Formats: sequence, structure tokens, C-alpha cells
Amino acid sequence: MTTQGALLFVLHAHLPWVRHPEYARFMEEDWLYEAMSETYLPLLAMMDRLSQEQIPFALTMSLTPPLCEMLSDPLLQERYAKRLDDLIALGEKVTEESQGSPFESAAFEGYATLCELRSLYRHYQGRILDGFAKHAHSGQLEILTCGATHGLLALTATPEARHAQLAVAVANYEKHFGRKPEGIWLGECAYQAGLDQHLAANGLRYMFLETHGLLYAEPPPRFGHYRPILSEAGVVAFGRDPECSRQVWSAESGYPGDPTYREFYRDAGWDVPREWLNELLGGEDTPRANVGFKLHRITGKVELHQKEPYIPGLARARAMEHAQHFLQARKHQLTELKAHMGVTPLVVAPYDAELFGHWWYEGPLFIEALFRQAQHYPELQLVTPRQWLTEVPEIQVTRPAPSSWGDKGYWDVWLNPDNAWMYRHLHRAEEAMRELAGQYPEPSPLQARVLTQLGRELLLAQASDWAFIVTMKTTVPYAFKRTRLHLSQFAQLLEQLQREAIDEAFLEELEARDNIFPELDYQAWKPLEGEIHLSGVSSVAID
Amino acid sequence: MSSEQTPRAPAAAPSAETPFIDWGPSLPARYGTGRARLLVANPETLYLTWESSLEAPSLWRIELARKDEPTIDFVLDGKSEELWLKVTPASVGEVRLFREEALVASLPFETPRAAPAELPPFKVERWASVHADQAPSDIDPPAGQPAPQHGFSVDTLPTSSRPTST
Repeated sequence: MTTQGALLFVLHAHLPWVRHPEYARFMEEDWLYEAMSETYLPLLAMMDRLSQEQIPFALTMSLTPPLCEMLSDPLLQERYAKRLDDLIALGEKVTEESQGSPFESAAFEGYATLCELRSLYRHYQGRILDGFAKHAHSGQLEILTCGATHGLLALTATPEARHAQLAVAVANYEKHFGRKPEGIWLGECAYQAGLDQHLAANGLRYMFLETHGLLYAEPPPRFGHYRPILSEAGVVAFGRDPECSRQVWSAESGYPGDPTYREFYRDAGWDVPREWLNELLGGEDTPRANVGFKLHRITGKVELHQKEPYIPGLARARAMEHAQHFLQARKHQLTELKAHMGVTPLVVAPYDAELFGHWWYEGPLFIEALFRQAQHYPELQLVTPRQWLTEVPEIQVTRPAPSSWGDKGYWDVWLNPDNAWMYRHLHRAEEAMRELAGQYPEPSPLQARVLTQLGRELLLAQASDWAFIVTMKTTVPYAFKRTRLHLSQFAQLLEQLQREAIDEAFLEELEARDNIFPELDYQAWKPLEGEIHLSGVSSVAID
Repeated sequence: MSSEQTPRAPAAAPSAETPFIDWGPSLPARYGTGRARLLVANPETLYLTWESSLEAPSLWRIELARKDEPTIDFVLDGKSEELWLKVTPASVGEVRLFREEALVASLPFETPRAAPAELPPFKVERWASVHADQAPSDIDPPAGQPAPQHGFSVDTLPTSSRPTST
């Protein structure tokens, strides 16, 4: 490698499994629809454009199993298509109404963008994973997997539960992308000593850790977090660079807070005549809500009613300036690092994908500008993990440190007095599942269906999203409800199986509603030979 | 109990009387089999939870034993079944659970470090070489054919094989 250094740009795309066929419209399903219009489709459009223009790019993205399952679910695809149509219809009305006003260009830009996204969605016949897979095959996009339901593996009680989260994820990746994954985004970047053995056993060869996962490694790595390290089990760990994070994430100085950019919190759902929203909100009587069509810019630290009209051309130009600023900063950073280190440094810049587009509307434009402008920075090489490891195979062997990318750097966000009650039940379910997988090596077809559904319910309850939401105090009732619902369904199915009194109607209902991972094999929980010890978790029988 | 070892207020138990968590179907109040668990929340905090199969309330004593530090006791009445314990980063120890003064569980722990590790007294580094078995362009399967699997292999390098120019 002859450059000053390399940049590894990573997007973590994840949403919890939210699918409610029992309701015609369900508010939390909007998380997916908003992310589709604002993040996933714009990112795919960006990759398509770069590819058509033969502009090289190197992007690494995790697409978590629940997200892949939702993106390929026919019901959600159909619902999203309808929602996009409704949003475009609203955009058309707003555009007509805004003609000659200061909001004319904002309305037209929003409307035209949505129309382009609809064309793209139709081009892929709703199967946008095909688009991501296409770019992965070209080698310019590297797709990572994640734990099956983004479970926080560092807080699981049994090695079998950790193995199942990984084995189910690997099988799901293979189903969607036709090959096994090489890398994983650990849910919340949460690492505990011993997890590397589980990753290696499932064929996963690299992961991403918070900065101190490398800085506090034992022995300390010679190049800090500016070079990946290799764990004892043979798993490569890439460490997040805090400087890259700060430039984008910082609430005070981060790019997304620029006054020129589109304001997230001022939404047409609160401004347009209520009757225009009937289709989008599912009726005349439902309360107003954000719909994802926005006409104002951030403006500055002013009240929402003082926000000024959004000017798309200015915002686009600003995104390009910010991309240039980011690249300049990386160039200086890498040049200094190389002089100091004497070898090529690697800077890893991981972000939540939904930051780009959903929270920061111009985020996908920023990334596109970054790839376009990077061609003019010969000092800097954009790489994927595979490209880096192919070109720079020498790697220091050391033990990564326990860490997460959550607040305070460990597991407080997912284990604190507000959500600790979850673990007693989750751990009981884990142990029951392990026992069942050993007890039923050759189940009847009906028993096999129950065992499979038990696995689904456990996985869905394990999603780290629920504990996170409780701590963040956002949609807390929903998080509580989902945790209790899946654990309760698990308990009911378990009791039916043990009593040999399976309620088939109940089972069918669950299979239809929680239909994630149709390929699931409950034997993923079968007792493992040879315990893999995980630091940080102890569990013993008493009495 | 020293002032530094004051446990945090226990978390609310998942009961129907607690409105904050009363969303969704109820979960078993008890599972009928005894179990004790210890989770590390951060370098300075442990979360201990347990359930006894015995119905009668018991007097519980928890002993926090750490290497090179004095042992600390906590005595709890029969209702409480969880405790947050303060410890120090990078510490190794054991939490012992006693019911009516009889030891019923020993749970080892090791807390993460909160600062970089010290460099070893004499600098010995281990290096390895990672090889990608196949390039991504080679793994696009022909139509209808299963994708060939790929991955990385690792060779251990001699200590002297450190990167010098790449």
C-alpha cells in the first residue's frame, strides 16, 4: 500500500423485527418505512449511480437479519409501496400548494426525490436486498451480518444461546446473499472475552469494536486502534476511530447540525390540512404525526415555528463541502499517523446507517460526495475489511478488551435498574431452549414446529433494542410489551409441549405473526460440546 | 459495609403492582427452580440476581470476595432477590451467596479494565499473517450454481516479522 493511509467506512443498518399483520396500520412499522425512503433506498440509489458512472467506492454495511427479513417480507413490501404512493400523493399536493412560495423548491425536491425512489423500488420489484447483493458481488460493498436479532451476546447466560444467535444469523445471510458472511457487526459492538471463540466457530473472521476494545487490549497493541488486531481465536478486530465519529455524530459540532440542512423535527404532518393526511395516517380520526415530508431547514437554535424554508441547492452544496472537509481531515490525520507509526494506518469510521438520510437527510449525499471526491485524494485509500486484510496481512495478536459502543463504553445501557428484570426471564428461556434441543433429537412434525417457534420467540425477546428503548425512554410501552409478549408466548408454547397438549390454532397464529427465519433450525440450541467460557456472566443452580 | 460499597437501589421487581412495566402479558413471578446469576454491567458494577425454589422467606447473606481486598458482607431479608454491587475495574473475585448461613452459590467474576493495560516488562509481540483465500470477484457463482465458500486463514509469524513498510 503506497498511500498515506486507509479509510474504512462502515454503516450499521438495523431495525428490530416489527411486523404486525394483525393491524391494518401499526405505528412502529413506520420505523421501517421511514428508513426505506430516507436511508436504504437513497443509499442503494447512490451505489447504483456510482456504479453506472464507474466511480469506485468501498463501503461496508451490516444488514442485520431482522432487517433482511423485513426487507424481503411480501406484506411489508406491499405496505411500504402503498405508503410511498400515499407520501407521493401528499408531496404532489404540497408542491402544488407551495408554487410561488418560499417553500416551492423544498416541496418539489421532496416530491421529485420520492418519485425517483419509487422508480427504484419498482425497478427492484420491491426486493431491494437484490440491489445490495449486486454491489456486494462487485466487491465494492461488503455486507456484514449481526446476531440473529441483534442480541447483546455479552449478557447472555448460555454458550448455546450465543451460538444460536450467530448460527441463525449465518444461515439467514446465506439465504439472502447466497454465501456465508465473513464479518460481523456485534450488536452494540458489545464484546466480552470468549466471544471470539463463538465467532470463529461460526466461520466469522472479523468484527468491529469500540476504540477501547483495542486500546485496552492485552498486551496493548503497538499501533493502538489504527491497525486491526487478531484475537487468540483468530478473529480480526477493527477499532472505531473517535475522531471520525465526532465529526459526524457530535450534537454541537457534527455536520448534521448545520443550519442549511433539512430540519428533522418540523414535519408536514403537523402543518398541512388534516384531511390531506387521511391515507397516510390511516383514517380521519387518528392524531397528527410525522410523515417524513419536510419543508424547513435547521436554521439555527430557534423554536420550530421560527424555522426557515429549506433550500435544497444550498444543502447539497453544503454536503459536498462537508465531504471535502471530512476527506481533508482524514488526509491530515493519516499523514501524521503514518509519519508517527512508520507503517500505513487504518482509520475505521462506523456509524448507524439510519443517521444518513433518516436523521441527517443529506447524509447519503455526503457519502456519495465523499466517494466521488476521494478519487482526487491519492494519499487516501478507501477500503473494505477484505481489501485491507488482503493488502496488509500482518496483524498483531492480542486479546481485545471487553467493551461496547454504548454510553460509558460497557453494558450499562442494556443492564441497569430499569431493564435488569428482563434478564432473569431471558436466561430461563435460554436454558429451557438448550434443554429442549437436547431432549428432542427426533421430534414429530408438530413438535418440530413448536420447537422452531420457541426458538423464534426467544430470539425476538433477546433483541437488544428493547432494553435500549427502555433506557432511552422513547417508546417504552412497546419495548416492554414486546419483551413480555415473546417471553410469555415462549412460556405458553413450552408448557404445551411439556404437557403434550399443543394448541395448534395458537401455534399457527404465532407462526403467521412472528414468521421471522422460516429456515430456523432449533438444533442451533443443542448443548455444545466443550464449554466456551464468557467473562462477565456466571450462572449456577442453587437449592 | 464501607461507604464506597453502598449498593445501588435494587431494580423494581417485575410485578403487576409496578405500573411502569405493566405492559404486555404477565411473566412468571417464580420459575420453581433455584438459580443465581451474576452479570458484569461495567468495570465497577455487578448485578446479582437469584431465585430460590423454597417458598419460605430466607435470610440471605452475600459475600463479595476480591483478590487482595477485604471481603464485604451484605445481609438481606427474604424478599429481595437482587443486588447491585460496586467493585473496582480489572478486579477478580467471587460473589458468595449464603442462605441461613449455608453457602448455596459461588459466582466468579472478572471486571473489565477501565484503562490501557501496562506494557509487559520486556516487549514481546506476537504477529500473524492473515490470508484471504479467494478474491470477492471469484466468488460470484454462475447462475444456478451454489456459491463457493471462502474465508481467511491465519499463519503465526515469527516475533521479528513485524510490519515495517506496509
